[in-house]
Amino acid sequence: MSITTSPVFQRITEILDQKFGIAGEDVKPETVLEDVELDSLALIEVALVLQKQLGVQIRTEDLSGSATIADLYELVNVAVEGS
Amino acid sequence: MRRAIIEGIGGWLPPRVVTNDELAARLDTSDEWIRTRTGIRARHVVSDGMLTSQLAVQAGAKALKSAGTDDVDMVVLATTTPDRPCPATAPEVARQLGLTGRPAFDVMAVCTGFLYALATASGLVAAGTADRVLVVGAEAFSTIVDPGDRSAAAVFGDGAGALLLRAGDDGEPGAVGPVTLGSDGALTDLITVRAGGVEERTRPRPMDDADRYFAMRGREVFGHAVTRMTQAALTAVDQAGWRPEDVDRLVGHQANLRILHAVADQLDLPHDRLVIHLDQVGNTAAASIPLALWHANATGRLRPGDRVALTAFGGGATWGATTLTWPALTTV
Repeated sequence: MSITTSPVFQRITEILDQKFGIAGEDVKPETVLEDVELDSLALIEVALVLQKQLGVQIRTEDLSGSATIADLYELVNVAVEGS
Repeated sequence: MRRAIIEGIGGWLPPRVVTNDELAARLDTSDEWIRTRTGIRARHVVSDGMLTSQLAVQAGAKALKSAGTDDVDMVVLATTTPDRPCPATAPEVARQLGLTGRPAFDVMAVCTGFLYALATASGLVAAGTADRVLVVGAEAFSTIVDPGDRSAAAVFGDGAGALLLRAGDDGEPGAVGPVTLGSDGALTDLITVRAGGVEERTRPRPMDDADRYFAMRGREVFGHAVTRMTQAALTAVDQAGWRPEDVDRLVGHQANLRILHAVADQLDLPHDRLVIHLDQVGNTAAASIPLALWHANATGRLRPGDRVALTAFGGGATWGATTLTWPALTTV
């Protein structure tokens, strides 16, 4: 299964659209978060929303500004699978 | 049951205002950069020679006047920026307020300082140790900020806020609810001024000049702050027998607008229930909650009967929260 069809990826896409106004077509695994105007704090904001929605603990301190959507997905997925 | 009741409120800001544009003229930053990342438009800073004790006295005097009394039997001062490392600043504040002889001491929990001081003061009132306590949060925080640190210089400001507590009964408006507090020493390095204490004095060589200034790992603080402020607020609301949606006004430590928005989101509270003061004054650390309360009371943003939750996160790390029903208070 490709990353983009997974429920977690879909959830990330939804949040980026609803909370940060980032269009779905801009959300690709290789997208660097800073390139879609998501600064380092926005990354944590996304993680906090995911944390609440999915009921998991996400290690936000592991996220850096140069991270990609795939990195964010990986972090969330590890949290979901570990919960 | 005997409880501490808020009967007076005061706030004071030093007259000198530093706008974002003024910062942008000397640092690599811009009004837009500061506003989008922090929500802050301006901050007040002390002039040369102005001390934390003076800010505290101004705010404290207003709180006494607001309550219409000068009969106080204890002064508790929350500050990260005491006039001197030793002794505490509170005795000098008490002296200038005409309260020489009364017990007076400082509490240090950085940005959670006011809630730690409020918990201490309201506990002493509830226990019968004191009948009327002045609780002040005062900071000359700009004095520990590296003038070349564009993040810290943009965020922090100076000022003081004060509440006067008197003995009363639970159920009265203004009764300070149970205060929930916490700390995690593993996060000491997150928010710190490393130099100037025993850690430096017991070294063979002094620390670097940079260590004399305030340092904060902003991104990490953001995540911890949102999580802890949310959890603390939930605990305090639960202890009050409220549900989160019962909160009419959430007064969070005024660190950063995005932190306050994220906390409201975590609590499923609409953003219009947040009391916002940081746009005008920045982050005033231990003074931020009483200053925000003072401003909100003066502007009608807080009205008698409003169910209010206070929540904060700060250096230590420390955190805390409490609840109260807002009383009718005179602003002077």
